[in-house]
Amino acid sequence: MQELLKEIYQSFCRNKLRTILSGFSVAWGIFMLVILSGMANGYKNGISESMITNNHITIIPRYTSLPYKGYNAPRKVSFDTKDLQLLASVFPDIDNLSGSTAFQGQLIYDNNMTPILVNGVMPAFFKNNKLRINEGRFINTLDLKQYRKVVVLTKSTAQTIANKENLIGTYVNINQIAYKIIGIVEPEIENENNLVYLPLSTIADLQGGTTILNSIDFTANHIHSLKESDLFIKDIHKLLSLQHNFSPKDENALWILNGIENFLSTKTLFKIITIFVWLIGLSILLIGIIGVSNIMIISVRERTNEFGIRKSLGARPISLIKMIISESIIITTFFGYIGMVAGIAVTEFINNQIIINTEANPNILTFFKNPTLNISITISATIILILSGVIAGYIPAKKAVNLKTIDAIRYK
Amino acid sequence: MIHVQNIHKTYHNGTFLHVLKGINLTIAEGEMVSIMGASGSGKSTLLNILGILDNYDEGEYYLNKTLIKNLSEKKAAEYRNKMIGFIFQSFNLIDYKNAMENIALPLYYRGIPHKERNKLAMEYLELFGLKEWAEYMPNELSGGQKQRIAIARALITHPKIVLADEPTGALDSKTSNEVLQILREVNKQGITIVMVTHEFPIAQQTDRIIHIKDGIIE
Repeated sequence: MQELLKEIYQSFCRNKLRTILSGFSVAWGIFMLVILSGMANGYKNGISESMITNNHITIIPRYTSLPYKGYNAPRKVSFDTKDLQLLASVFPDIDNLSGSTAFQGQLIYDNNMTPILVNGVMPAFFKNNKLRINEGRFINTLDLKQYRKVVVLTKSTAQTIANKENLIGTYVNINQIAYKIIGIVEPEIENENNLVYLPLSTIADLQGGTTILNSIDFTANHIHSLKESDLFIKDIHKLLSLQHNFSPKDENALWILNGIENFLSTKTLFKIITIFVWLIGLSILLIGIIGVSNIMIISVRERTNEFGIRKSLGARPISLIKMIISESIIITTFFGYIGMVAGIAVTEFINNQIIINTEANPNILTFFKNPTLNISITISATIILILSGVIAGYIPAKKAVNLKTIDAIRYK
Repeated sequence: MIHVQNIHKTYHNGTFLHVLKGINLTIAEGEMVSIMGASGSGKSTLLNILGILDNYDEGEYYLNKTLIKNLSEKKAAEYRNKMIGFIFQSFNLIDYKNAMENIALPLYYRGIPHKERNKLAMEYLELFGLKEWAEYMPNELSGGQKQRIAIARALITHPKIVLADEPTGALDSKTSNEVLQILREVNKQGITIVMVTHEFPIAQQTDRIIHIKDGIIE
């Protein structure tokens, strides 16, 4: 190994300028690949942040429009906590299942009464509705299990009821019951109502074990095509029509907000962008590979006599191939890493600038966020570099091996 | 040690050139033989075939009772490394390796570790009185020194035969004699030596002279 590295270094020294120039094209190829995929990543992250790009489904019960099984139309369809259990058992692939209820209420704090909108929620509500923690924490599974009397306020509610800090841990009175404040959150879109969040189970418990749900939310990560999505929505509709005695054909009975379509089309767009970026990056890299291959061919020709001597001393074809391909791999990975590090430095710098800008002006809507690369891209770039080295070294190595020993020794 | 039977060799680059026209030759173990002939007589071609650097079209060549014919590059490299040491007129040292590294190179292809290689190379340098020159590059050495290093490189693998192609061709008469003395010493250790030369005084100092003319041994 030491011998190999030394020989590669010596060969590098003999063709310094040529090696640097062709190494530069490899570095540039990887640099562009990193920058472009960083930009694509940033665009992707920005879009995901500012649009509903997850496969989120919301079901809201409405009124029937068709008479069914002796029931007249219109008739109000209402969900309760049993529907959650039903959905979870029939569709085990769905995640973040959450039901929520909402009703008007009164909040008393420091002898001041404020009208509020009470939301009974489950932990997954936080993720499904893209809330942000301001202070403390959101409602968790334990709150739900133990029917805890805890409340999470929105930031605007907190500001309405009290001007002081450290609300966390203090108690408020909601509809004549005391609740401990455990957190303050910011919703994605500010609501004009003063919102508070209670554990759904606590509300159900107070209402005798079950409660009416205004909506049911979940994500369906197992859906990968529009066709699957249509079938899935039909299945849900059918299941709930059986449960709540409305016609399976009654489109009016449920309002199903399906984020999957949006999610899938955005996903396709990103796929196309990613392919495009890789295509450009790889074609630049290809030019680099051809450059390295070219200087390796020249270097093999210059060393013809040396290869002849080595063969006469007992060098097997494999040892010559190993020597030339390792040399090529070292050139491409060395320059490739320079390009990669430079590219990562640039994307990190841009990311830093975005963070500074966002902190200065938090309300700015960014379509560009965190343009950095994840570890998997770095690993694939490394694999690409090594492969590039092998490809670049293959033809020169073949040339060296195919030289007839005696002709090589006599070559001047 | 060497047994050659009816070997033919034709070069065809554009025209056909029948270089060797049925060579029969036997060289015993421990012999020191010189091959003489005019240029174009086929003496170098014969030496290259003996050294498995070139192939032949017809006949049979046994080296140490092994038939050497149509070998793969891998097998040829193995035999060259194990059985043959080469000495060339133009020394053929690798110009970016120092004296010690040049001597040690055949051992690299035998998979001997770095330290051990260099230790053995130093022993040979000492034997040849070149210990102080170990770190010198070939272009800093005289012709005689270079040829002694080339001889050391040929001997470091303990070959059965040493093939020398005009080993004194690039040296003055004094240095030529020194090199020849070294080869005689080597021969005394029992190593077979086949040497191509066109200088009669050099050839005279070997056990046997083989004259080759127009591709046939006279």
